[in-house]
Amino acid sequence: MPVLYLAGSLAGIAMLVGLNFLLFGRVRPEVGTVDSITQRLMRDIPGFRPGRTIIGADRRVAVIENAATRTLVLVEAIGDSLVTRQLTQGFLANVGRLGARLSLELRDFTYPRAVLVAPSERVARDWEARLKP
Amino acid sequence: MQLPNPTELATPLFIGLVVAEMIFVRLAGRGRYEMRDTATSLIMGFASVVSGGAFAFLFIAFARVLAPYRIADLGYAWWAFIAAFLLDDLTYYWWHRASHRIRWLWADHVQHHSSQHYNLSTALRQPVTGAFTPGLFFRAPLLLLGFPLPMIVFVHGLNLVYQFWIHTEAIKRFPAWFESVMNTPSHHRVHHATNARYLDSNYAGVLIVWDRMFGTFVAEREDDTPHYGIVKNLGTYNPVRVALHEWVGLFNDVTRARSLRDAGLYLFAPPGWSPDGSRETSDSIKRRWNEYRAAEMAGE
Repeated sequence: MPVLYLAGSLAGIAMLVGLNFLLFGRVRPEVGTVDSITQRLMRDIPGFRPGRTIIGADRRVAVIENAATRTLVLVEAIGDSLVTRQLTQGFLANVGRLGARLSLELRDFTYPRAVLVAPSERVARDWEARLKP
Repeated sequence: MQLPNPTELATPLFIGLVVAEMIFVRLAGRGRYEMRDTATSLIMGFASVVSGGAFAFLFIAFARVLAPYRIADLGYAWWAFIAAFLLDDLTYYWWHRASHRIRWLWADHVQHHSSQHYNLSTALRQPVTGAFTPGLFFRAPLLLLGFPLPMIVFVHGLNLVYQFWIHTEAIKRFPAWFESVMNTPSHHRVHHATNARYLDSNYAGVLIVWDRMFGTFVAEREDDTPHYGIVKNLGTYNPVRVALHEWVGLFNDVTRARSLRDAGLYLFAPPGWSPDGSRETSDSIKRRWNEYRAAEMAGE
């Protein structure tokens, strides 16, 4: 394979990523509002009904209850997209808390950890109890 | 006979079209680009070219093994190029369909579907682990019929070049006659969508007629905008994790299987299969979605 072709391809990649940045900037990841999260989850989970919700202080991570099944769903903004995971038994490996900061360890190769900062320590403690596997 | 490599020749065109699409998306607001997603797609495209080159010997060896068994020597007549192109497109359809229905093949192909974006950079997000799947066997019919190896590689390259431009939201629909015969952006948006009604459809490479013939065609609907990615979208832009995530899952499942039968089914059953049925396959998602819709309609 010609070295020139490979070098040209790498230069092309750098140029395109740079152009992408110039035209669209760098997106600040945000999960949005309860309504927009619900819209998204209704798409991913037929019959989804929103229950209690917590959105992190940095608005990157949220946990929302599916009132239809009494299960919890984790939502994280990555780039301009959302990644969702149903927190089924066995998927959530551990939940840690340090003050108002909740740390969720997941059994997922591409999404091993989510951090959610609750509005207060009391709220974090409440959600920790709900999340504990 | 020395034939050119269509994908190598088309690379400047690919770059030019991605630039044009980015500018179009910025001006028209139709479509989406995200820097890290684009970077991941392009890096994977590059890695795919490198791994394809590194493992090309496998295809050459496979062709040599089959050479004594070919039924004819079709040579380089013009009609042989057309026949090879059509048959390659047909075998592509079956390879692609199998890649969505057999987890071993899906472990490789999922890499192409892993972006939640659908733009020309997504077209370049190509798998890097094809050499570790039995995908090669889908090329056997062309080799056994007697098409020369360089011709097979050439027409397959043309097929891949055609598929590049259909990864876009910038083009809505073409005239009906074109949409009925050719694979188009509209048909391929459906293929990349995770909407329940669109799952496992439109496997065509160039000619959509294969999907129409084999019952896997689904038309794009105005009232069901495609949402792209995979059922369980990835929480990373790291190209290595993107490339390996399904292989890791497959390895864990096969090595922890309770019987040889289960291990085999983890490899060959559709993605999402599990012995106790606790995971979701595209079939179970469709079934649940249909039940939900039926219940909703009954409620109305």
